[in-house]
Parts: sequence; structure tokens; C-alpha cells
Amino acid sequence: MPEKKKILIVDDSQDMRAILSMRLTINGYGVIMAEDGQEALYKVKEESPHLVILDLMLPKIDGYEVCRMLKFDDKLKNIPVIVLSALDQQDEREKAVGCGADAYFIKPFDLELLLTKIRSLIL
Amino acid sequence: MFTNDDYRNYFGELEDVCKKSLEVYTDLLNQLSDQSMRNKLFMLAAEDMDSFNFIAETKKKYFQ
Repeated sequence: MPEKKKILIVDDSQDMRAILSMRLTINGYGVIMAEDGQEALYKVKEESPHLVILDLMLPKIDGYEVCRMLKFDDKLKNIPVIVLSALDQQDEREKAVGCGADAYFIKPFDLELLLTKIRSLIL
Repeated sequence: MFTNDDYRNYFGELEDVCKKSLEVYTDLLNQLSDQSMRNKLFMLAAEDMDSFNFIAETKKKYFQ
């Protein structure tokens, strides 16, 4: 059996973490979860996920800063980051892309489209 | 009498059914705003998730 690809879900909403966790699990991914930016950075270093799904509005350290820190770290910068936003605003999208995000989804998004994007980022 | 292949196929079918069910639950939960409906659906989805995990583990352990 090939090793499961690990995905870190970072969202302060328990509901969102549960929805994403279920959908990823049934599609064969291993799931790790964090509920704030500080925990996210710890989990990335401890667990070495293959991809991070990152909400932008987070306690302690926001998603932009987490993304920026990951992309400025030589050991972590190749981990794809998909950011999730509740706001559909052009400047927010540009800010997310500016901090190195690999993809951007606005809530509520189509879960199958998210899975398609994940498959394209971690072959 | 079922052969090992029969068991594997039936467990595979169960896994597919659970997966489909969980796809529907997660699509609904991703859109619904009614909190009492969400709570109920989360409980039902959790039961299906238990089933999915049990079936996947059993299939892997006995019928791989």
C-alpha cells in the first residue's frame, strides 16, 4: 500500500475542520488539524504534511502570516498552500497570492473543485 | 460459500456506498446554515465515517 499523503487543515471553525477532514479521509488522504496559526506552524514542522489548507482568518497568527512564514523557510517553501477566505475581495486575493499561496478558494466552495486542485498540487 | 474475492468485492461495495453518502453529507454541510439541521447531519455523518473507517480497515486487514 502506498503511504497516504498527509494534509494539514488549519481553520478555527470546528465544523469546517470536520467537513474537510471527512472529505479528505474518504479520498485516501491522511489528515492533521490545527485551529490557529501558531499550532499550524508547529504541526508543519512536526508532521511534514504534503499540503496545507489554510484559512486566512485565524487566532494568534493569521493565515497571511503563516503562509508568508512557510514560503520564506527554505525547508518548508515547497509545501503547497491552499488558502480559504470568507471574503470575496480582489485585494484579499492579491494579498494571498502575494504571500505565496498556491491556490485561493472563497467559502463556501465546491469540495470537488478543492479535491481536483489538491490532486494537481500533490501528484 | 463466499470466496475471498467475494468478500473483498462486497466490502468494496460497502466502502463505495459509505463514500458516496459522506460526499453528500459534506456537500450539504458545506452549504447549510441552519444550525440544528447541521448538528443532526454531523451526527449522522459521524456514524457513516465510523462505518467507512471500519470497512476500510477490515478490507485492508483481511481481504487485501
